[in-house]
Amino acid sequence: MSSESPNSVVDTVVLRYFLLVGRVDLLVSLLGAPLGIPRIVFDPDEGDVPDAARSEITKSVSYQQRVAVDPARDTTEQGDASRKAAQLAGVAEMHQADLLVILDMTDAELRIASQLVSPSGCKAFGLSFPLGAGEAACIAIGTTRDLVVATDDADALRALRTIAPTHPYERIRKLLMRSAEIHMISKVDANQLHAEMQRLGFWDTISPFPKPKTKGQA
Amino acid sequence: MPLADQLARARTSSGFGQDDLANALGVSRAMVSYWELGKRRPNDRQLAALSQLLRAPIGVLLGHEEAAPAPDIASMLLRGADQALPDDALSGLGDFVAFLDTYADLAEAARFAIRGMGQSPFISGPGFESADDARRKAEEVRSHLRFGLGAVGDMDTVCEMLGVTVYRADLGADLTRTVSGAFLHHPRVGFSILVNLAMTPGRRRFTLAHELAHALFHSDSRYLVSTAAKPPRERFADAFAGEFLMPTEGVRRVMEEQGFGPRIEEPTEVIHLQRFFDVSYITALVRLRQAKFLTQARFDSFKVIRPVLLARSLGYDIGDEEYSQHPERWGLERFPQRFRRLLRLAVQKDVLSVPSAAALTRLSIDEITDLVTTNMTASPEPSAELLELQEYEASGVLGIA
Repeated sequence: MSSESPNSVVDTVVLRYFLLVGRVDLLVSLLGAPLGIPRIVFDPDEGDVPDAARSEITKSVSYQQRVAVDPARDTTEQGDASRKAAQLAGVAEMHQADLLVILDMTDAELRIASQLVSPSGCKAFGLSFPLGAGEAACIAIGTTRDLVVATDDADALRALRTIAPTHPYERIRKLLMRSAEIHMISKVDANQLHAEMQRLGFWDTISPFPKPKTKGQA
Repeated sequence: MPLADQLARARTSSGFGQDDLANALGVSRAMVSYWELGKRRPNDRQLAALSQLLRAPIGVLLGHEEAAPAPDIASMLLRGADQALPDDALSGLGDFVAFLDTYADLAEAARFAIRGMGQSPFISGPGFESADDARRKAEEVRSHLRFGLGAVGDMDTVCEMLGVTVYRADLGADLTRTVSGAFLHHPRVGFSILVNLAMTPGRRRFTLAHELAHALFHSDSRYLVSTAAKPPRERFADAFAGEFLMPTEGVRRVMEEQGFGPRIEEPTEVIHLQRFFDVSYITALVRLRQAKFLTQARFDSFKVIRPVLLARSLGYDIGDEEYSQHPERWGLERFPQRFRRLLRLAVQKDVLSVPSAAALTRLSIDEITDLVTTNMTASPEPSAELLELQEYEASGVLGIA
């Protein structure tokens, strides 16, 4: 278990997509090891608990494992789900390798997070609906401990701007762009990773870098 | 009030015993007890799960905020029950009401029309509660839906056509004590039905038809909870459901076509009728006895056979859920079809983020992602559906008006 302090706190969505494309190394290099992960996002101590009590990443793993053996799905879907489950389960190896550290909230942080997940409390942050628990924990921990917040949830970013307008944050596309700018990967690789994330459900429709013009285009 | 006291209060008011809560969280009962005594404290993951299970905001559990005074429809539902209900039923009824409120809020934010039925198109009056009245009403509804004498298709689709919202929750498997279903006239969603997931598929279908009877003919009551006890309205709904799903004249016709009868002689004949009308074996037996197609002696001897094994030996496909029920495996399917469309639309229109949608439904981000992004276009590889279409095209049938 890492004893170092993290520079960042990462939410489920960002961690999920880098795990799914097999490039958590980029995340770790750009944000610095260890990554801070709220216990709601991943809890290495949770054991085999019912779905209702799982952390967000293990709930995703559990869902993909069910799809992988669901006879109502075709073999392509089953195979995809099996691969996703294996990729997401890689979070446990990251923890064992001290690449991430689990963060528990203080009372002050819990107070902020509880407002963000409350149907009435979230309105004070300009939100119509509550944040997911993982995103709320990230915002609460990040703003209280002055850590970079890595999230791609527009509502979480809106809440972050309300609490601390100049607080540093990272989004997936920006991380991919920085990876290419410091030559960890090429611009083509960055676009390909982004496209692969889109194929896996990522909602951002803008590529990190403009696609090269093909012959015949002005 | 400290967390320990708030936890105990929230657990008691939401109907959980310490054992139930421990099982739901995957911890020991002693741990729940320690939390409530203030000797230990749940971690952040457990606190988030407690908040969802107990339907108490984290801020309330921590004593940072007061519980919002809201109309306690869940308690009203419970007063409609005529016996003490087990904890899982109380919890499921609370889920049902909370879901309907969420559905209404989300629809409003996404400017989505729920199209819920708020007034029955069928006339009913006091005193019309006999079994014969119920059977006539079932014929009337079947006629309204143009069902003729055949089997009813998918009951969820039937309810959606009528504007009735159907939600499913685990209300417990002990049907002598728990709730099989409930009806609620929600002020913003309209007629809404709850079905217990911990029942066989045939029994769930019967319950849906039973609650539909309450929606269509008893909506003067804002809420009705169906348990094993049978006051007149419950007997009416049972009779309606039986006739709606397995109409006497329809049964007679199928028996004639199949060469059964005039009396049913073999349990295999019951199985064929059960499968044709897609009801439980026991419902089929009861309906056949009510219609006097089955003698009491045959009824008594047939009721002890193992219908799933017999159906399998006759070549019928048997779903997993016919052997045993697994409420925990139900994800998005617990929710009404129309709500799933709303959820997809709300995320695609940025009314709701994927993580927030996951939080609202208590599902994983992956399941919501699948709902929102699944590519419905067929893959380039030949699929069974494409091959079937090619056969149609080759036959020239598509050109026939």
